[in-house]
Amino acid sequence: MPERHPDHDLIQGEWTERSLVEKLLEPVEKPPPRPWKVVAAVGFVLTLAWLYAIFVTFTKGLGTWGINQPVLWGFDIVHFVWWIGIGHAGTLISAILVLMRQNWRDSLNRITEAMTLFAVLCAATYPLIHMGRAQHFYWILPYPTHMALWPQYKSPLSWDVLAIFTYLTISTLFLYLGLIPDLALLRERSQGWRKKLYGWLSLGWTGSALHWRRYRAAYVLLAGLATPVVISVHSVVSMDFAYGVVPGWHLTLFPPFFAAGAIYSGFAMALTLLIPLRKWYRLEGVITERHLDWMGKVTLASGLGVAYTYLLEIFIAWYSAEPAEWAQQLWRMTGPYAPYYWAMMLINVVLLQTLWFPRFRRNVAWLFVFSILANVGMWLERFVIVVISLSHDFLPGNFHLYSPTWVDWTLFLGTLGFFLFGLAVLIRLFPPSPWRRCCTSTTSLGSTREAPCCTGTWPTLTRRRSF
Amino acid sequence: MGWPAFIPVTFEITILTITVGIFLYLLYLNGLPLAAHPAVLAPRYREALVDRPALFVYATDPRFDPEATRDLLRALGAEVEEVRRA
Repeated sequence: MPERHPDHDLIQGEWTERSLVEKLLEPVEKPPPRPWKVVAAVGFVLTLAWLYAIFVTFTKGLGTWGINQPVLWGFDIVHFVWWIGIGHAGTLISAILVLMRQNWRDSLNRITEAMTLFAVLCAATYPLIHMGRAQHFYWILPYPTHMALWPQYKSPLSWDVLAIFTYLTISTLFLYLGLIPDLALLRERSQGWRKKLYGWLSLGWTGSALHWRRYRAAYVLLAGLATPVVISVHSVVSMDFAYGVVPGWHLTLFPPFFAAGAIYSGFAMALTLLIPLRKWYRLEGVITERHLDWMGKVTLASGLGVAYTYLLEIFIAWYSAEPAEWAQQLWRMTGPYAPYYWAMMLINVVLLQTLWFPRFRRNVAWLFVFSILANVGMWLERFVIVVISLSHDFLPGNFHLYSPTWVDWTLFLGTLGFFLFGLAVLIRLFPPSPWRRCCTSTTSLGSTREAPCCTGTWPTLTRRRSF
Repeated sequence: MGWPAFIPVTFEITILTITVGIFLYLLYLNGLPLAAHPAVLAPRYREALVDRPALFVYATDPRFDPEATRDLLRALGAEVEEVRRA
């Protein structure tokens, strides 16, 4: 009688270590299900459209976009903030939940880290193509130059560059570090070019017990360091706005507001991806309804932070006794963009409350619908903050509405396509859930619970080189 | 008094360097990247990667004795395989 999997209380069904490995490597080793082909094809077409829109932007200029005076930040910055927010669930799950010993994150962290990587890549393209002189993008980096150029480090825009670069690097390292043991196993199980690819990428990982010990220590250290970064990145993004004097932007509550919004939208996007994925790949035993329930709770908690700030914004606009602030608030609620504002309120304040009730939270269909709605709601929030604020500043003579062009829309749909295509390729190459679960989680790091699966590694008798 | 404005960048660069440093130091300590370890030549290595315990005894130890080691491990009920560097 084979032993049950050590994480049997977190996953569903009678799994042994070996049967779970077989199951988790299926997406890589077996031909993909039909929905995978559809997602990959749609993603690829949209990626091509995206490249075309970038080509148009570079050859014809920013005049092809809908931005105007005073709405100089349009869809590009809306989507930049939206994507960065989505990118927050991955590192939150990898880092903060590791430190809090939330072992259920083991089923989810790989796919959300991949999501983070592509979301941040999508986000980073927007400021780059918005620069106008995109060929000089490297001027935003501090480097010795004969022109004695140096970034203005008192500007949040410069902080943003480094915050996002750091975040991208750390997320990639997290994803890669988690992948190394999986890659070693795939190296031993595959043939041909795949064997070569996994061989190179696994860096010659042997699975020695000593290596595992250092690996786990490094993993927790990275988690500890990444935790403040998760919070800092969207706080820095919020300061891009809060440092400006535009009514509706100049608020000290922006950093916590943006951090909560990022976690909320990140978890919403993670649910949108995970619910179909577990169905298509029959991973219901690994990503169980309990996992979804827990994710629903995190979504509710972070969403409540967002809803609270919406209400506080109204109060502060009135309490500040600043005519432009109050006029901005009324413009949002009653102006031509009011439907966007009220739709945002409906989703992120009213519909969010359904997650209090287990009946709704444990209903996978509703959770899926709500996760899509929450993505839309967060998109609307970014639209409210960026576009509506700019369209109504101080002098009525300057007010101007914004309407996006087809290039703006193609850039948005294109990043969505690139996101889906990238994830589809990644799932085909790397298992969507790490098979060596308990070794990467903190159960084996000083807690009372032993990690039985770690006994299957190589204790070495003699030190040879650095083994 | 402009120093607070420099804190975000200082913070991000600190984290960036430490993180990359930890990752590279982990690789250094573990002797990675490594082209091939002789252990992978063992026929049942793949199982050891998943759920079987395995013990690897290096022949480079000056006190290594192939016969005595094999006898000891066999006496303890292990399957013994000899792998040589390809």
